[in-house]
Amino acid sequence: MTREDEFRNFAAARYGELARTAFLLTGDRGHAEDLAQSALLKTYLAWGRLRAPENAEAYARRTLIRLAGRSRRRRWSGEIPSGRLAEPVAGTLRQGPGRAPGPAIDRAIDVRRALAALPAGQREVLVLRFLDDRSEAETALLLGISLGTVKSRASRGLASLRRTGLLTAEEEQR
Amino acid sequence: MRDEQHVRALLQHAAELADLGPAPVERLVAAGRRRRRRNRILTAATAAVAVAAAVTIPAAIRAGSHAGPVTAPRPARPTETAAGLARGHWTHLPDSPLIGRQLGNYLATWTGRELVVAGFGGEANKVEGATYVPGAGWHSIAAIPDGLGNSIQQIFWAGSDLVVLHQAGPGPTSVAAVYAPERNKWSVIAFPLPTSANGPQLAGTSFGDQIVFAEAVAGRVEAYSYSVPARSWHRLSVPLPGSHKITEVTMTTAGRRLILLSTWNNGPPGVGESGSSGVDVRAMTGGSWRTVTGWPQQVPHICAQPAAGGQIFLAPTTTSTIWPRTYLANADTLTVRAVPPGPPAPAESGFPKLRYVPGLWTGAAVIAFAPDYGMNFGPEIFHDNMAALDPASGRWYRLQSGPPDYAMAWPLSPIWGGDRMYVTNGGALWSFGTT
Repeated sequence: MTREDEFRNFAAARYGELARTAFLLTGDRGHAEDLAQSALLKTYLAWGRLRAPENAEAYARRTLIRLAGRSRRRRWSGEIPSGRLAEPVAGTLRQGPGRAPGPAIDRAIDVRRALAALPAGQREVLVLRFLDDRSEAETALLLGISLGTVKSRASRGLASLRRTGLLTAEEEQR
Repeated sequence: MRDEQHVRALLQHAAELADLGPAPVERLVAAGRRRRRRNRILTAATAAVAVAAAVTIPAAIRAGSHAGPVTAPRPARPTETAAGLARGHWTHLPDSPLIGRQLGNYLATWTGRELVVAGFGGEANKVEGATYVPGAGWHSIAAIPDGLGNSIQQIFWAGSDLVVLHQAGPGPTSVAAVYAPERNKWSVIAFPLPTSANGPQLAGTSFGDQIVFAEAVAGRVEAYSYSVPARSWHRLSVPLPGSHKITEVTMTTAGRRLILLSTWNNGPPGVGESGSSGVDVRAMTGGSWRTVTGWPQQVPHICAQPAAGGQIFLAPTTTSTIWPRTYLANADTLTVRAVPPGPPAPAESGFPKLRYVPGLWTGAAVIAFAPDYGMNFGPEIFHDNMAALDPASGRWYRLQSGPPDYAMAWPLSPIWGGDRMYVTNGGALWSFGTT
């Protein structure tokens, strides 16, 4: 298998995860797909240096986080978190047989709104910790912040979500 | 079930994307190959430049690691017009003393005669800075005192001193540090706004010898100015409609006038709807505010760049368009006119043509950048193609292609420095101009 074939396999396998992470970070589906593709393109360029698949995984993830953060901070080009969801309507979720639009979709929209309302730092920590299932140490490394900051942001982010009632609603549904 | 498990389930549910297609693997590979070819060519060219520079760089540049600022004056040149920029070229300038530091967070500003770059991170996990004086090279500046937080949020030049705003970490406040070039000294100042939770949302602008910060707090605008000579803060009261729930603030200056743009949204949280959201514009001169009308309202955010030449460059943004409409406002009359759409950039194989996106105002021209594949934001776009607009005639001029991205990993926003554009990632530095 050539290096390019290895990258093809990697990109095909990871694109969806990267796009979903970016979606929750940015709240904009189109932007999320752009970010995922940008991260993969940079990963391709660095592929020779990455050697092991786990290195590529970490590199792509770190690149995605940095690109998302940079686009958020870059006011001149307008990439500012808008708090405006790209698709706050039914149809954003997969709707297979037996998954009609309804409360589940409403809850997904509520969750995105709640995330959009969080400070970016808290949102990043929650997404990495609970969507990507990263440890606190990995999250600190990816975001370039201290372990203590990860813990405090996670705590505050969870507290904010609790205040929205989303966690309670989830509990009741179960 | 614990909260953490609930959150995990909620986020996984919320992150689902309907009909997400497969990764465009072949297009990514094609783009990557193209980049590599270009990089190989430019690496050879860069190496030649580096060898020449090593031979010819004067002692002043080699002495760049010495602490202390350089204040060599630079004769003023008229800013470049679009036609002039069409004869411009890229120049690879000496690397900064910060190269190789692995600093994760850089910011830069132009003081009027030098470029200041500050970055946070590295093994020491602290802030380091350097200045680049055209014609004299790089010089390190004194290290910023430790313990000022874990990132740099904003950096401003206030006439005589540099003001750097830090995120102070998990606490409720941010801190700022002021750097005096004449003394090569830093001092720490308290910061009145509760910014740590919303750092990137904080707006700031230089206003003579003051820095003005503003932020939307609980639907209202909180604004403070910091006077560098007096070393004191003053709260600014901004008259805005009480019925508008402010979500974001942007500011810019034109001469002695401060312009504050506040985005409001009275609709559901996070959702802007026609009629329930808009932008209030206020201009302050001599402490008095007045309402400005006729500015763009149809977008949720407006970015304004201070500009010389009696114009203010407005880049209203949308959440997903690759071609945001941009405007120029007359700094005297505050009337606004739209910037004509840029021409399509040359198509790359397999990729669609995209229009140039205006991004930088030089004082006489608008520099626009061709979006790169998959990159519809920021300076990640500039290494492909650029164009310049003459606002008077509406004519566009193609500019020389930009520097290679391999040298410009994580570049900062392009900065207009008097008579040329600077692009840096904290380590490497390129300029675009006619000299």
